[in-house]
Amino acid sequence: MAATNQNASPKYEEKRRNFHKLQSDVAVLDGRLLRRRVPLGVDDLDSALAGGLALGRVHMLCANWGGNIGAHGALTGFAICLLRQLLAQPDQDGPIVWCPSSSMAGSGILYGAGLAALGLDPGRLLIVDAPSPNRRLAVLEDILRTKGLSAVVVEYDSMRKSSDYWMRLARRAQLAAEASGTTGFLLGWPVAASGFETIWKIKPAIDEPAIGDAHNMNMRASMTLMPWRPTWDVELAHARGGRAYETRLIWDVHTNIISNNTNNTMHESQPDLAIDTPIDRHSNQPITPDHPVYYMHDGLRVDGERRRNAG
Amino acid sequence: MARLIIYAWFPHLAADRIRRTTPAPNVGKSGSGLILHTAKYHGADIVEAVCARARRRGLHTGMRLADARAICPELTSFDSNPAADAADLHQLALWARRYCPLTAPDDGNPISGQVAIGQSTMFRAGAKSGQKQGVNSARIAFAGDGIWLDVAGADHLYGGIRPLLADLARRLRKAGLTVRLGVAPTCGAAWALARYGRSARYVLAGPKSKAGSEKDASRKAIGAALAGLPLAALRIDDALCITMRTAGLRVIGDIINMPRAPLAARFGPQLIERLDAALGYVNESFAPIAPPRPLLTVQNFAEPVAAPDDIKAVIRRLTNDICLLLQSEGMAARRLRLGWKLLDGGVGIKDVHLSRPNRDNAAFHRLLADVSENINPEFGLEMAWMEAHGCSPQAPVAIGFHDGISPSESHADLVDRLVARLGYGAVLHMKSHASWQPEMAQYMALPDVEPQGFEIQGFEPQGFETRGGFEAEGGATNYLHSEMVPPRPIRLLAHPEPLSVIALLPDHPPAQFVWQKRIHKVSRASGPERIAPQWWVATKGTKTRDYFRLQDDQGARFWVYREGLVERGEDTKWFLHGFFA
Repeated sequence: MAATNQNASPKYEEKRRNFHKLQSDVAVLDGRLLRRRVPLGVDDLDSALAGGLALGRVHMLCANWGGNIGAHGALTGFAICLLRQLLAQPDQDGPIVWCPSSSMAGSGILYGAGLAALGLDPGRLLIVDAPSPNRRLAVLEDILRTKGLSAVVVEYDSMRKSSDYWMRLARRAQLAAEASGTTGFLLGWPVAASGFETIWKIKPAIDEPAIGDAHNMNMRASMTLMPWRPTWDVELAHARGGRAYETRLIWDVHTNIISNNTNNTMHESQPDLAIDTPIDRHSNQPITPDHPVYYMHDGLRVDGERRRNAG
Repeated sequence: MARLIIYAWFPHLAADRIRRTTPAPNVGKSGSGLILHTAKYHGADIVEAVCARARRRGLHTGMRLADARAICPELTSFDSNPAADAADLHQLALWARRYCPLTAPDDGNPISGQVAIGQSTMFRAGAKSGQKQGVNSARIAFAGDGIWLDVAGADHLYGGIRPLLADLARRLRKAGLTVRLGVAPTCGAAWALARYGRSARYVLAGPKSKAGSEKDASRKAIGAALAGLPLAALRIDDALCITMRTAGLRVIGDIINMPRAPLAARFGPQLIERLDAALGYVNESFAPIAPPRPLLTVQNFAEPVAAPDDIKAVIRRLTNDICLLLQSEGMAARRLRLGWKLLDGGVGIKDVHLSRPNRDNAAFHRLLADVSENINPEFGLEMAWMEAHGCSPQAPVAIGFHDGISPSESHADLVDRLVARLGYGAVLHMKSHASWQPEMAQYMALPDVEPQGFEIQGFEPQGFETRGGFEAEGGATNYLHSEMVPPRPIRLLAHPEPLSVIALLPDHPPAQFVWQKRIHKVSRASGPERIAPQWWVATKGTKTRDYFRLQDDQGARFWVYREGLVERGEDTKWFLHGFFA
């Protein structure tokens, strides 16, 4: 519309603002306006995601650790990392519904003190205990239709279903999530799925300090004082509106910052309660698997070969 | 027609309750211990109620338990439970409705009447109100313990008042209660006769059919019956009784024919009020209790209903009816029970739980949507009903035009839907328990209406008024920065899995461990954190654990513990207990 200068009175401006707000509200209700996107803080990853993690959609996180079964914590940890980015947004006060896998399934139960250690308040979790992954996915749509929740996390473990099933589920779930604005996360093993907003493949990685940093003369000493930052090799297999991307992410739990370079900034946070690496009492060197072994015999130190003590 | 009030007094209500409920064979029976009920008053145990044998031995209420034990060492004493006694009385009053529709328990509260009789200390000092005014006035502690029945017009059903009384007394005695009955045209007289009358059952005959007004004659008869009873039978204070005794007035007969003005001036108006109430000059009545009416709708079918669509329609109709009923009563229910009766006599029940009291039609329909699939009608349903339980009063809520469903309501709605689909107990909250044992530190609880926070062991919240110490700004980061928090995994195995481990003795973390037939080489370790068993509850042989946080060469992180300490010479075993991020 033609905005002429003589109409630039404050009242007119306010009317224009109200009108635009009304327009955008109507567009949101119509579903034409895109949902909010949460930037994760890593520029390349955010551009691959076309701006950030989309709220009000369903994302799938798969485990990608190949032969190394036993990294169940890493997948849950990444889900919590994304949840914390989401919860840092304003207006996210609702409860989080989590449907964990059965306690007998081998990955264990969710532990509240550990969740609190990663910064997620367990008091705002609503746990839905359904032993079979089929039932969990069946109620996923119902839960996604509820307004007022911050997020929904469903663990489907290692279900074997056809790609048709996943396509139908994804379509229904995305519609439900768009209608209510609740974000959904699916956790489990890699499946041939399509239709979700993003599909991630997660693998745990070692958080190593960069060698040769001027601050640390003794790398071992710095390793002792370094906090345990969750680290993952993340592969963004598919993103709607974005592109595939691979990187290694490190999450600083205290400041809730994700970074993708292994800088070993020594943090002011406190180390763990007890010693990190065991220190040999006599030589005051940390003990690694290559450390020479000796044992005490009648008060004399005797150097010996590497002995294996099975615990 | 003359009024006819029965007062049934249970002098040993508490003792009889104990005798009824305690399975011990020698409680208060002949030849064995006596029963006393005690309560603590200023640190000393005071006897509140005795049984008949104890009374005969000279024990009375108000004496200290130590004195009572000195008098008879073989007595058995129990803690007093006024709530249970009041509940018993209530049940008795409800049961007594088989004789007449107007019954009430007398639990020590003053009786209402047209004359404001006023709160006498006698009733205040009752054990039911829990107040103790001193050891002396505890004598009136059983000012209650009775039930009122107003049987005017109901006695002909039993063929007269005496057969009715006989039936009442017989049934109460069969239930194991000692009872004394008093019948009179006024409440006060019935009370007096039951408590202070000389025989166990006291009936006041109706007025003889003679000339003169009926009321006068009955009053004379009451006066004659009450003449020999002590003044306490008029329900006046102990202090007033003592005052009157020093003035030489001991029985009611002394004051019945005295001029009233000097009496009122000397002893106060309460005396005259009670006397008038007892003699019938003033109307006195009690407030009858009403039995609880169940919220229930029933549908009977002329022909058995078996088709699924018909069953759905039946459920819909019952839900609508129960909602209307709840609305008309102004209540909201927390549990709905749908029941149906099959043609062959079988009965089926389905319960639906709600997380908060609700009477919303749409919510009920949603919750009951899948129920019809679980009903197996076989040959057909004969009858179906729906009850509403857990009802609480709920005021009507005004709905604005602009508000949608508020988020808390939709959250409660979601919980209800999930519970209806997955079963009661499927939706849980994490609650923390103060314990250093990791598997004991957390439990799952059903969601309550007011959500509570999660408190973490070892973390002292500083100045957080909101729940659990985790909310308020900086709650999470304060917790993370706290120095005293030991590391905890985000997933905990329900049963720790044994590992075979290569580790240096005595207390080094593993260098390598084998789990599920894979070898994990450890690249980083931290610990140990020593957690000892709770020696006061743990079974013998539970060992101390040293927990380590390990990272293997692929980056996966584990929480591993060694059970048993080498320095104590115990056998050591290694287990995997959880996973970290």
